[in-house]
Amino acid sequence: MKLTRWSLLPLVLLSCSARAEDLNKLSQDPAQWVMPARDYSSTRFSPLDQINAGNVAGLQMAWTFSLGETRGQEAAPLVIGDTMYIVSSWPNKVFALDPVTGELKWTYIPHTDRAAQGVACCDVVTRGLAYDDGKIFQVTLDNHVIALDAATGKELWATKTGDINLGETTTAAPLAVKGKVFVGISGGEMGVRGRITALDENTGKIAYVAYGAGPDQDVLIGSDFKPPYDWMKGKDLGVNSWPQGAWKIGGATMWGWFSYDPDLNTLYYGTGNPGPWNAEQRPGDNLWSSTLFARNPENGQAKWAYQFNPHDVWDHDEIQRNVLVDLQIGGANRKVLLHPGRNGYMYVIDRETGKVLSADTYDTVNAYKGVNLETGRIEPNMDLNPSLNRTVQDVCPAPPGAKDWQPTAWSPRTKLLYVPHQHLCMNFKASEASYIAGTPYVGATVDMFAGPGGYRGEFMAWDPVQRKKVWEIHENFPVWSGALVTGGDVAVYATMDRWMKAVDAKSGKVLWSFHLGSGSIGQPVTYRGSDGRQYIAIATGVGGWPGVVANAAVDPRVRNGALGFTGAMQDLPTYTQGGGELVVFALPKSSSAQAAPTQPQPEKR
Amino acid sequence: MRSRAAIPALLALSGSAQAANRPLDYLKPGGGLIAREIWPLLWGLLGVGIVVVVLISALVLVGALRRRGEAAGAGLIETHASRWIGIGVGVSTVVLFGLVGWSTAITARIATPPTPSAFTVEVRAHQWWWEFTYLNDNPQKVFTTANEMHLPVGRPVRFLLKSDDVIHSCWVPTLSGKTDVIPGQNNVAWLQAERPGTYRGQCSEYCGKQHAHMAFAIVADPPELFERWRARQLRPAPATSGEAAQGAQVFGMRCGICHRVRGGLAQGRLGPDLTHVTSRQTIAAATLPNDPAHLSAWIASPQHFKPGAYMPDLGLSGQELSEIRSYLTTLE
Amino acid sequence: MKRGLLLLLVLLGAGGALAQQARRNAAENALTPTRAGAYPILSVPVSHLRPGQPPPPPQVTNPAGDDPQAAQRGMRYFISFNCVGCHAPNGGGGMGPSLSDVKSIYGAEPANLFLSIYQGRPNGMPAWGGSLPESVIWDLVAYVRSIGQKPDGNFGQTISRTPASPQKQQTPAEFVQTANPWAFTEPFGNGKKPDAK
Repeated sequence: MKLTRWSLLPLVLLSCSARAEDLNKLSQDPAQWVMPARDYSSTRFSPLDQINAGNVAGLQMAWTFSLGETRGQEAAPLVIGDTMYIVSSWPNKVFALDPVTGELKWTYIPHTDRAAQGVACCDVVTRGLAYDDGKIFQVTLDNHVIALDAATGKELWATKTGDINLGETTTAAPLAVKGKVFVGISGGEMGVRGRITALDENTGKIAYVAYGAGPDQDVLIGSDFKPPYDWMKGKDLGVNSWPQGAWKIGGATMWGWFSYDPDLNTLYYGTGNPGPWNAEQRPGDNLWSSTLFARNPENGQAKWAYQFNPHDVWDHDEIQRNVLVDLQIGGANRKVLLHPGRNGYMYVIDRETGKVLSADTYDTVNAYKGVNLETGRIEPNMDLNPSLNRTVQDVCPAPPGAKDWQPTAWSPRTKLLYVPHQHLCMNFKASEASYIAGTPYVGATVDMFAGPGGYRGEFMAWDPVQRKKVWEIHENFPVWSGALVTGGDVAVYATMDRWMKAVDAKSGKVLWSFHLGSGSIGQPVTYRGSDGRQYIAIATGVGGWPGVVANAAVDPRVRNGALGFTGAMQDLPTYTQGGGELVVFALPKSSSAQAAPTQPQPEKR
Repeated sequence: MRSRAAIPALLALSGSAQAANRPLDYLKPGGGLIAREIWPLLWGLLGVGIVVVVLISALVLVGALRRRGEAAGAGLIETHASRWIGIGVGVSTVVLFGLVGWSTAITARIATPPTPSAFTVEVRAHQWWWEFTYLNDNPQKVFTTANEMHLPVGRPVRFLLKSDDVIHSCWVPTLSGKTDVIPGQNNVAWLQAERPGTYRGQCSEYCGKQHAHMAFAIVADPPELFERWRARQLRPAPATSGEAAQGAQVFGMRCGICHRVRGGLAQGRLGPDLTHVTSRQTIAAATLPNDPAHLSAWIASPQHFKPGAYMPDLGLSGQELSEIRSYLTTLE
Repeated sequence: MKRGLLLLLVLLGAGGALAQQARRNAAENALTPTRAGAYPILSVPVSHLRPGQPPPPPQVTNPAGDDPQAAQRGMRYFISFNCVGCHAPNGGGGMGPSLSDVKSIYGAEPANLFLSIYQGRPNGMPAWGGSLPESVIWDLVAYVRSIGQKPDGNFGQTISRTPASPQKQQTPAEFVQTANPWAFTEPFGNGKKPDAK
């Protein structure tokens, strides 16, 4: 038994006080995986290279663990010290396991309200846990934020941050930054008033709330606010860009991802769609929906904001992962943010100012005509503009966009962004929607279907400097899982029709695949066990918005079901059923012994 | 407050008592620019039609009553007949083309308003009531009202016609012609009132059980009065106290799923927006006068007045009814 | 002759009014105590497991059942009250379970559906009893009953890719809005664009 550096970590952690820096440092340790995106920059890159393009073909299953739920599993397992943590879909049980043997250490079962399932728009998923300072932070579908002792699973505090009777649920993974836990709120299809909430890590007390719409003092827009473009300047635009009172029920939720830049001390996240989908009920730009926010995490004050989709008409949330990287663009080293938009454009944004440097389509797009880099405004295709009761046909991308929640991965070795996404078009008809608190506020009949070429999903590598696709793999179904890329130049993803795949990060050649028990919409992670072996773990269990047709009482014969996603997914039940399970892979013991464990190297962004 | 809005309407009514008695009388040039333009066409076509009917009837009668003997001499008939047919076809063609030309000229003239529209109103036809949304580039200045719309005298107003259910037709006989309201198709119309007054509109395409009770009122105000009306419509519902506050609560529970009051959480869209219901002259799509007695009766039993309408009998208690009514009277 | 016609019209009108009154009474009776003191609808079980030999459950019929307009009205309410948001157009399901097949969790009889809407259900169905009058709930029941496809007589259901099973899908609701959606079907599309217009 080797005594490795990280096995002492729990001891080190006990004495920690200046936490954010420590968590940042902790995230650089290749052996561990301490937040859903592995690091604050959201790269999902691990320098581990024991499993590499040369030997990944021999990958084998090491152990599995049933999550006990049959709905969609979107959470990333975390590996901290010698413990792995994972959270299930509703009722959001937390499990602590031995990352090498799979031994169960403890289970935490929250009393999550059963009725919360009825107001969760797109399966009863959760996207993961957060960790800091010896505590695991979880969110429940019924809007509780809970801190657990990472060692024992003992509940330390629980705070309620939302009300299911207003249609509010919480599905976004929390993130710990500088002693605060950040959580979002879901319910853009329920007329929720979107926001993020910052809670004190130690007490669970709410430090502040930053709303996605409303007066400046609610959105935390003050004197520090410097928007990159003139049309986002003005007082109380979160009120004035809506019809009277509509901002109170207008969505602009946050159910995706936070990123954080410790050097700039800036928290980045995007907001969701404005509600209802029927845009005729909310004339105006509907700020700050579909907007990227840069905030000071200490007081929540906005530094800048950029609205991707003013007056969104297609449910194009922009809550995707924002990957923070430094790139050589135009001869200069730029601090940028990569954002594969739900609208089908790959944005490269200056993360100090919010200016768009480039925006290029990465999938079939006819709903928009382009992004004007002078004004920063996207130009909608008015020929397809839906108006009441008129069916517009063949609109691409569909409401889930070219990419939905799926976490991307960035390799500093290949300088490519690995993007799992979908390839769908739709027919769309707007109708009137009544706001009734706690019920859907949508007003659209949608029918999605496979885009041109007949395939529905794609895993691709994108070069943000050359602004082009380097390679792509077409998949039958939307690639709803996250991506992982490693120092061994292996990119990993999984499909809804039960395939787990490892591909060459440079060429996109499929090197290994494995038939899982259920389709996967999970986030693959990798870590090194105390035995020196590199492991790859992922949660299976088909579901999410596209997957409910296979894991719940949804009729595949009615195309407009599941907010229109049934149309595109109706044959999924012939490939898979629901079933949540954690699956862990490693190279066979003999071959991993041959491959000498490499020393952890300082990670470069 | 109500009486102020009603004064110009009353003036207009007393000024043309006949118009009030026959609010759908399209045989007279009404108060609208379009109505005045098409009025000669209407009478002209009617006149030609009458002349043709009389002429043909007379010829048929002559033909029927003429004795067979007078028609003797086949060659004569043949030569005369072809000439008569030629004359008949020639005259008809000239007259018909003339009328087509005339109609085209007039419809072309009224296709677009002579001056730019003051604003656009989205007219939405529902089974069985009308919804009017005043559009504006500033979303904060957009508001919605139902079954009664105001417009400024002397300015054209553009109508964007939409339907949520079946085909309806929008007709204000004393102001304009008909335009169909078709689901999935946005028809455009415009109208301009020349004189202040209240003009009755009516659905003129059969649309179901309560088609007959699907009317509305257009109130043409002098510009400054109109602006005052618009400013008041833009205000959200006021805060309430006492019985009205009770009523607001009952309203939220029992009515808010279908009706909307701006400023509150009642945001239903099945029924009319009631933010300023008390400022309107009628209720139930211009079916009943808007006074406390009729309002109570309507809320108590809508199915009695409009059987088959989507507003159900709610089985409200006397107290609930009285509370709701006192709340509604605060919505001026 | 004329007088006879007039009389007929009057009779027809009165008949219609009477029928309507009768329907209204029946609707109210469902929640009104009988002389024995029992509320018939409260005796409608949610489970069909019956221990011992209890009396048969009461037969509660939809008081709006013979009104051909009831399902049509119910469709309008279904859309306006956001039922459509969870159960989807034509009851395909999504946030809430599908209604387009008749395997209803809490029973598919009119009284079961009435109670599910009136009381709500614990997995996320809201209780509408306080907000909606009974007549509206019965209209919703009529609509829900009309969009469920009748069972094909088999005990179970086969799902397979080859041969394609199910064989048929319903025409999308953005093209057809009807209370009788299973009258409009087309071959199963496997996620491809539907051909029907």
